[in-house]
Amino acid sequence: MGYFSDINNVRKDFPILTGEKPLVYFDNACVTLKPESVIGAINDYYCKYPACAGRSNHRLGEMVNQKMAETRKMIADLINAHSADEISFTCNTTESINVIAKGLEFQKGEAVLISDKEHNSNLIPWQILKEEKGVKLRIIPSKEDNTFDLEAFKKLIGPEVKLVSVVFTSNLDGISNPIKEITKISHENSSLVLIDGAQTIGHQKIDVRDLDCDFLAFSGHKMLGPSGTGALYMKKKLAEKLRPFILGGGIVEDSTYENHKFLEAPLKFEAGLQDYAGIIGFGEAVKYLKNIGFDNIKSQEEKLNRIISEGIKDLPQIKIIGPENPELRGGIINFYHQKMASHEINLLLDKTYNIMTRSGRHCVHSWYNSRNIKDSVRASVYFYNTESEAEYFVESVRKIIKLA
Amino acid sequence: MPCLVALVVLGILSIFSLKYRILAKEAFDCVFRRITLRPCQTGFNQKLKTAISSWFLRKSERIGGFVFKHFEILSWVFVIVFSVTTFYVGRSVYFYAKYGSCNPQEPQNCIINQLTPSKAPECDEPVK
Repeated sequence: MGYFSDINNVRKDFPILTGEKPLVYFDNACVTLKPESVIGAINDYYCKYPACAGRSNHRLGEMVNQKMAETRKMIADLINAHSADEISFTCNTTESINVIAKGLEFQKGEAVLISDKEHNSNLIPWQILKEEKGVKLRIIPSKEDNTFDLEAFKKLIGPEVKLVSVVFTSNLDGISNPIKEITKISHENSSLVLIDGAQTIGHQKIDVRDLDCDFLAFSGHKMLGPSGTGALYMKKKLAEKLRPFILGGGIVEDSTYENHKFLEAPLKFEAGLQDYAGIIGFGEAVKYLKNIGFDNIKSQEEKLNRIISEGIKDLPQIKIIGPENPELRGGIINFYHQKMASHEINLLLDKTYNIMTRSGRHCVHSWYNSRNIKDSVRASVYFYNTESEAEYFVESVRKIIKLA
Repeated sequence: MPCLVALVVLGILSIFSLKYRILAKEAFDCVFRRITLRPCQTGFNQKLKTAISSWFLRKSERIGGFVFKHFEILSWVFVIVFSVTTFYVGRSVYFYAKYGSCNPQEPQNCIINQLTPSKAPECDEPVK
C-alpha cells in the first residue's frame, strides 16, 4: 500500500479536501482535484523560471527546456512508449483527436469506425470529415448491457476502414473496452487505431507497446494535472507522415517567402507558445500518481463503486447506466430517476448535501438520443474519495428521491 | 412561474451588478419561453427551485420536502400575491401623486400621510 495506506494523509495533499467540513467531490470524470505538488510546480514556473522553451538560450529558457523534456519522458514512461519523441503536448484529448483527424490523409470512400458511446470529441471530427471529404462513418453498436460487441465490430471492419477510433474507458458508464483485441483485429485489416484514453490513463496501468495502438489521446486534467493540458502518443513512423494541424511558430526548422521545412515530431505538432506551467504541472501529476500506484487507485475506485451501486440500485425509479456488476464500471456510477429531473437531483446534492456530481448528457448526446433517455446524474470517484463519502452519497440520494 | 418574480427582482438588482444581469437574462429567457408555451431551457427554474428548497431542507427535511413537492403551486401563490401587491402599490402611488393621499376616501388610513407632513394648509390661525 505504501503512501496510500493512510487515506487521510493522501487527502491532506489536496487543499480543497482539508478544512472542517470539506465538500464531497464526485465529479472526477470531468476534472480531478490537484495535489499541492502540482500547484507548487505551476507556482515555481511563474516565480522561478517564467521563460520560453525551445527558443531562448538563456539560463531560464534552458531550465524550461529541461523541465519540458523531463515531463515528456515521464509521460512516455507512464504509458511505456518507445521514446519521449512519441509524445506531443496538446490542450486536451479533444485537441489530440483533432490532430489525427486533420493530420491523416483521408480519401473519399475510406471509412472511420467508432463505437456508439463516443464522446463528442470522438464523433464530431469524423462527422466533419464525412461532410468535407466524403469519408464514411460507421458506428459499432454496443451489447444490451452497453459493453463492447466484438462480433459486431468484426462485421463492420473491412479493407476500406482506414481508422478505428474508440474510447478506452467510457465517460458514460466507466466500461473499459477490449483495446488489445480491437487493435489486433484492426491491424489484421490494415486499419490504424486511435484510442481515446481520457478516462483511462489516470486510473489503470497502460502499456502502449502491449496494446499496440497507433495513437493514444489523453488529458492531464483528468489525472491530477492542470486544466487545459493533454498529450498525444503517436508511433514514431506514423507521426513523421502526419501533417501538423495547427500551423505557426515553433514547428519549423526554416522558412522562406515561398516555402518551409517542418521540425520533426513531436515538435511539429506543438505550434505557438506552449502552456509550460501546465505541462510541468502535468509532469508533477504523473509523479504523484506513480507514488500512489495504479493498483491502489483501481481497487479504491472499485470499492467505492460497489458501495454506491449496491446502495442505490434498488431504490425506486433509479436506473444505473451500464452493466450491473460495479467492477465493470471503474469509478463511474451514472444513473437517472424515471420521474425526477437529473439537474434537480444534481443541484440538491450540491446545495443541500455539499456533494459535487454532474448532470446532463455528459457530451455523449448521441447515445442518449438513440436510447431516448433525457439525461442522467454521474458520480465519478477517485482514489482520494472515502467509503464514508460513498455511504453519505447513498444516504443523500435516498433522501432526495423521497421528494419525487 | 417563479422566474417572473425573479425577473422583476433581478431586473432591479442588475442595474447595479453584472452578476445579477446574467441571472436576469436567464430569468427573462425563461419567462419568454413560458409565455410562448415552451419549456424553460436555461435550467433557471430548476436552479431557483433547488436553491429555495435546499435552504428549507437544511433547516427541516419536512418543510423542505413540502416546498420542493409543491413548488409550482407555491410559486403561483407567490406570483398572485406579488401581482396583487404590485397593483395596490401602483394605485396608491398614483393616488398620492394626484390627491396627496394614497387613500383619498379615508386619508387617516394612508401610512404615507402619517409619515410625511400634510400638503393641506394648517388651520391653526384664525380666519380673518
